[in-house]
Amino acid sequence: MVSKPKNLRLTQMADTDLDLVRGTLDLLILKTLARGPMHGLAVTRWIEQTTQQELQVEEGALYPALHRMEEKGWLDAEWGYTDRNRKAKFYRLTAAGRKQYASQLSRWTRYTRVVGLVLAAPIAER
Amino acid sequence: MRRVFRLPGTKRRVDRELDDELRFHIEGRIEELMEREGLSRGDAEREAARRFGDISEYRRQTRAIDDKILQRDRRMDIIETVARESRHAVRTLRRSPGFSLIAILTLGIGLGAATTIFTVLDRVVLRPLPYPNADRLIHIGTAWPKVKADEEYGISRGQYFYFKQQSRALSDMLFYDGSVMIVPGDGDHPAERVEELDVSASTFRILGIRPQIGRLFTEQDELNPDGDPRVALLSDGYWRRRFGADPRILGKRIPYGDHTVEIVGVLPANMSVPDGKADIWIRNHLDPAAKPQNNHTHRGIGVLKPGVTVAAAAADLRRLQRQMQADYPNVYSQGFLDRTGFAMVVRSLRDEVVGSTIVRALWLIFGAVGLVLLIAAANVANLFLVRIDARRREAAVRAALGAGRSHLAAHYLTESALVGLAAATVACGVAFALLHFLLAAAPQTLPRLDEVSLDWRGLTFCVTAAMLFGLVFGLLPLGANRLDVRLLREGGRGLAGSRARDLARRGLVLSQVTLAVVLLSSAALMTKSFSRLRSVRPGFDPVGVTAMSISVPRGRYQNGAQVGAFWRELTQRVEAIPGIVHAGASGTLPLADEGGCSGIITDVVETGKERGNCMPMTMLTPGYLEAMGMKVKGTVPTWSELESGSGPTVVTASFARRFWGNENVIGRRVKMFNDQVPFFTIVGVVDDVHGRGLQEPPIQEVFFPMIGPPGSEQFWSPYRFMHFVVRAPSLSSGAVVTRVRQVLEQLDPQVPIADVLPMETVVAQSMAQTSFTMTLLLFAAAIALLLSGVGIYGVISYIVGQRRAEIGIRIALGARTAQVSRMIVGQSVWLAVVGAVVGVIAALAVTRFLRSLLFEVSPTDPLVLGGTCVVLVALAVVASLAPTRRAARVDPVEAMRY
Repeated sequence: MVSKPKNLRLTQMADTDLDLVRGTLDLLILKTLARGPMHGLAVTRWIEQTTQQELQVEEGALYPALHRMEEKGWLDAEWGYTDRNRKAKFYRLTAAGRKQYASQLSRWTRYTRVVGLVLAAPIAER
Repeated sequence: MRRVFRLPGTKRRVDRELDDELRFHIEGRIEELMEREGLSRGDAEREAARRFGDISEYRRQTRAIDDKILQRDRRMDIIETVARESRHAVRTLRRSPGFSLIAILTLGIGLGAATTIFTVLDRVVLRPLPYPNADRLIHIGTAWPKVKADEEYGISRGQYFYFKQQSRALSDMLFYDGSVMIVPGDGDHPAERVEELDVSASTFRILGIRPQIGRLFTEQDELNPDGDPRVALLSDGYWRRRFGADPRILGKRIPYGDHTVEIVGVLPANMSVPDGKADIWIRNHLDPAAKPQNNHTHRGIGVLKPGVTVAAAAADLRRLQRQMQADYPNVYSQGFLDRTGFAMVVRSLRDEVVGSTIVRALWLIFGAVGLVLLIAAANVANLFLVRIDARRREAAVRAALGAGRSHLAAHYLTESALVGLAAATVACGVAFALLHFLLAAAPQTLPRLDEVSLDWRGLTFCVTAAMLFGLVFGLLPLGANRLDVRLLREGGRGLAGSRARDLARRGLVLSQVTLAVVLLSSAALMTKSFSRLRSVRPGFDPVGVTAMSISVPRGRYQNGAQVGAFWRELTQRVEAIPGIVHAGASGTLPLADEGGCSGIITDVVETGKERGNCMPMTMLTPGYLEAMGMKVKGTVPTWSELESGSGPTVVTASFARRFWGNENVIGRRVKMFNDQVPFFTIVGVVDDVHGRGLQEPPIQEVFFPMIGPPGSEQFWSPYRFMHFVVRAPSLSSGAVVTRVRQVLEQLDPQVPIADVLPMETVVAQSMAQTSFTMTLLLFAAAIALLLSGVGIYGVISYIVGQRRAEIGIRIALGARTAQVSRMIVGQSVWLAVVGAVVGVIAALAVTRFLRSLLFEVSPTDPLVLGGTCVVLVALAVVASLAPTRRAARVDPVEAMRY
């Protein structure tokens, strides 16, 4: 058993949290790729950085998601070379992907706002 | 990011790319962990693997998605190729509208004709009857060869029960008989004659008929004796016509004949027994305990047990019949069996309903339109061949640019498939229109016609055939065309069309001519048959004669004398009407109703021919022979003679010859096959009458007078049902019926009229099948001739085009126009002659199938075959005229320059 490096903080998540994350993985990927074409590893890294490693999923889960989105026509994939001249598969949002991103984003925002409203309401007895 | 050229996916590629992608991720992670976190290679690897999770599971999931993408891409690829090739093909076809239009129309017309006849054949012959387990239904009848050859009769109630209870081959059986009945007038409706079916209760079960309202008959109904009222069912049509579709009819008693019936149900529309329609259905009185009788008048239909063949059922029923004959020697005496040759007849119900002559005629016509289709296809194939030559350059360019055979095949196939599809569309329209025409023109004897309409089976036939032809046309270039890049060098000229292709082209035209000869000679044989048939003198003069059937109800006419008085009154009153020349009644109507037969005794005892077993005989009133325009030698019976009791009788000439040879028969005596009946005296001989059909020999018939000599009354009383015939050259049939109806109104409004038909229509209907077959064959032959002409024209034009230079040289060397013309026409005639010779041989082989449809014409009639060849050669000359003129006008200078 390898000891965990201490500078890597592993957030233990409950199953329900994990489901939530999986459901939103698509949205995260769309958001990430909205910045520009990226390969899978770069997507992982960016999510890692922006969440400050609070949110962690198995990296492998990214690939079925990416390929499914490619099948749905939200993403285009192309082989290209990285800055280090390595061959990698780059993903890019298609027009449909952009539309999808917008609609998922607005849905998510509305959802969290509504949930936030409920949670913020004071608990008072009449 | 630099891009990498992307190739179409294969399974292996997809696998490799996925591995690359995942490896890139993990390698990248490992490097990162080693560089940033300072982990050892081994630790970094383990950490990367942990972070990644179950790699084989993720790989599997991703791979499944990739497969879906791969399949979709492939589908898209095919669709794109087809779409691209189709677009291209449409463009090329539109660039040569002449070719496209002629190819599509030619194939479309041929295919349309074939589809039409296929639909009729399919509906009438191929398809099972519209009953459940139709393939297991068999017809059961009896033959009496020594009484009447070629004639079949029904079965008896005794046989019904005997077979139904004991047969090992049958699981069920039904039984019915038809008759006509009078429904008396009721103020709102006049008295009318209706068709009745007396059926066993099992009929509905076996034929799958359910009531529209009310109930059907039960086996209990069968047992009830024929008392008043009997239970009855109405047909949908009669229920609507007479009772305004009133559902309260159930349980009502209506007067029917001399009795009343109780309506217990209404049958659905378009449901009936295989060969009959009825207005009223009455339950058949069937009592298993009743003694069998020698009364074989009912139609029997059996249901085979699963797996039993018709032949096995026939053997089983013959065995049972022998057993029954042994059980009931008083019904089936040895004398009866010897005299009649009584035997069972068993065949599949479909064969019984459809009939072999009709089947043969339909197959024949289908064969004919099949030939037309082949001729049309040959023309289109020829067009495609010409087109290949014209496009060799294009093909060579494509080949030079790296298009492989499969690429070219896709290209040509798309184009020919498009032509095929367009032709199929045209064909459906043609078939739709032709079917309408055909159904209107078809003889009424053609069974199951109401089932005919253009359906998905016809459409499938049409589209499948079109695609098959499309496939053949599309593959022609591959067989015919070497991808010869040299063509480009030579500027597309000079390299003449290959010899093989020339031969193919001539071969196609030769086969066209051959097929046309077969078709034309068949059509000519039928036409000759038809004209022979028309020239037969039927033995009566149908012009200006109207026939109708009149039935006398029991009501006011209880005994024979009263019925006789009615007929006399009717005849005399009708004859008194201005414009009506003669009127009279008979028990039979030539070419329509054959009537019955009886044993006949003549006064010639010594010749041994004094007895005829089943001689056609009927009853006449005075006026009938004159009304029908039958020529009588001797005298024509009159009412006063009838009443004097001499029994003045008329026989046909062939009847007289049969019994008395060439003797004068006036004054000779004849009677029905019963020793107690007094003799009748022959007063006249009518010219032979072709009563059974113009193609049949004249009938040997006796016309007994309505009133016989004294002593005959108990055996011979006036018929209640007769054909009433009126000769009125100046009046239409409608006018005649109106006047007869007026007379009946005064005489007795309860007497109905039915089956009004001009005799000319009766004659035409008797020839309907021949004329129908003839018309269709002529039609097919006409198209065949036209298409062959076009084919010959095409090939000769092509030859002239090919030999332009040569012709130019000939003209330059002093050949005269006539010589050039002769050369070109000669080519054409040569093609026709060779085609005609082969065609005549083929026709000799084929026309024997026509034999049973022909009348007084041999299938190898030399005049017809010779004439056909002459027509084809003439056609070849005509078809080559235009190309010949072109050849003669060739300018030698111009022709040789290019």
